[in-house]
Amino acid sequence: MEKLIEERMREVISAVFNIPVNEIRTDASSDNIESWDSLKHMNMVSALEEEFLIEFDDKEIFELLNYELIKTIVLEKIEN
Amino acid sequence: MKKFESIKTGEKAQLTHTIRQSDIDQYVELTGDDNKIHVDQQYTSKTAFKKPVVHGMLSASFISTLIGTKLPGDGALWYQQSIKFLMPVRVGDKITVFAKVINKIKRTKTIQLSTEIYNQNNQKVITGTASVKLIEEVQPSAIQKAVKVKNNIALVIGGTGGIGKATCFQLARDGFDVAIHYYKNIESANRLKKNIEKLGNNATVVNADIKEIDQVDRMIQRVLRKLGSISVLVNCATTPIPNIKIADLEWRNMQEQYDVNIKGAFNIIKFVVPIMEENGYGKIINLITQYIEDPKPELAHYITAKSALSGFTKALATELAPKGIQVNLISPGMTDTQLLADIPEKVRLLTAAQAPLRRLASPDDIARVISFLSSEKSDYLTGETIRVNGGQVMI
Repeated sequence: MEKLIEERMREVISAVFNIPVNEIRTDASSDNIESWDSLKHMNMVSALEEEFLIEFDDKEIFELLNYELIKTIVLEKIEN
Repeated sequence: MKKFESIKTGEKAQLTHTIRQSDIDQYVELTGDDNKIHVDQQYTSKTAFKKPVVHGMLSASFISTLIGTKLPGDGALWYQQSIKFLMPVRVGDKITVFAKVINKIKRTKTIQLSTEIYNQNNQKVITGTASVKLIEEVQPSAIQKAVKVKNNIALVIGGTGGIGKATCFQLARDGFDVAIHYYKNIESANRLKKNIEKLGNNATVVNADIKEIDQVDRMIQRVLRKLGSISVLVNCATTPIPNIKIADLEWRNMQEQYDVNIKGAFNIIKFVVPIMEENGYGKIINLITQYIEDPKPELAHYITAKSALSGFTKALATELAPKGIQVNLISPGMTDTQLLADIPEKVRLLTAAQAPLRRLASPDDIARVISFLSSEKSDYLTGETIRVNGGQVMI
């Protein structure tokens, strides 16, 4: 289940930032993905919400800072 | 060790110990004396004693401690003792052992001591007389004397915790002999000692509840006997830090933090500062927290106690600087240790992601700064706070 969600999450990141799935590292963040600016960040938030049928609150939007945090927060929201 | 000539008739020494159930258990395990009168509550309830009585020789063994560590101390050969048990001692009793020199025999370099033990109600429970021969060390040469007071003997309080352990290792790598203090984790302390000894350094393991001044006194005496002095004191003592809302916070939660952070630091400094004063050299390093400058909710008890420790440290720094003792603070950010076990993964990831250096501190990060403050490289620093937080707080 967790693996499947992670795969779908990678697809979203790949599509939003326009990078191949196999190039997304587990330390991916705005520090190492050049196209990760504030606009793309909001695009990623919408795409994740659409993909997993969840809604992030204002605080969570600013907490989606890197791959591990996106995974943790998405899993947390799906489980709840 | 005292010289025979320097001991005066009438000279006194004393020590205090509170008898715990664990003392009885260890004594039974060591000697095999499991006489029901000492260990069986049900049995003794049917006797005139009503409650178990502490083994007489257990109480009396503290006479040995007093003679072997204080009067006259190392090298004492205790060869004769008369003893009379006057009253029973119970678990929980606080006994005070007194020794007083009543006679000196110059020809044999022997002293006679009156030895008495009192309980907390000032009742005499044991009395007797001891005879002790002083075995004196062969005097070292002038050169050996010159190197006797070294600046590389460290006492690390909380030496088995994450930062404490890394500090012990780092200081050993820097060439320090290390006294590793532990509170509960003796196995970890002993493993650490072995590993430090493999580096070629001397190490010793010492135990104390730092909230108890008697235990701290014994701990420091032990460090002095094993390593000779203390030039660096690193205080990494800590206690669990639960998140508690103000509405639920009770004074005992505050007290718990004060006891370890302030009373503990106070007790240790009481005994370490005179040693450093005598050497004209010393470095004391206390650990506080980034949360003093970047407070988080539900941590009032922790932040308040650490703030008090910060004030205490700076006051000490001012007073002790003219005596050659420097006192500094390290303020770590969230550090990847066992203390984080109860912190949610998301909080850890978020803290790391928001830190300019994009990670939590490792115990080694903190230990390396402790190494700097323990070294001569920091000789012109005192009363300073070094923030080791990956850039999370910049002032």
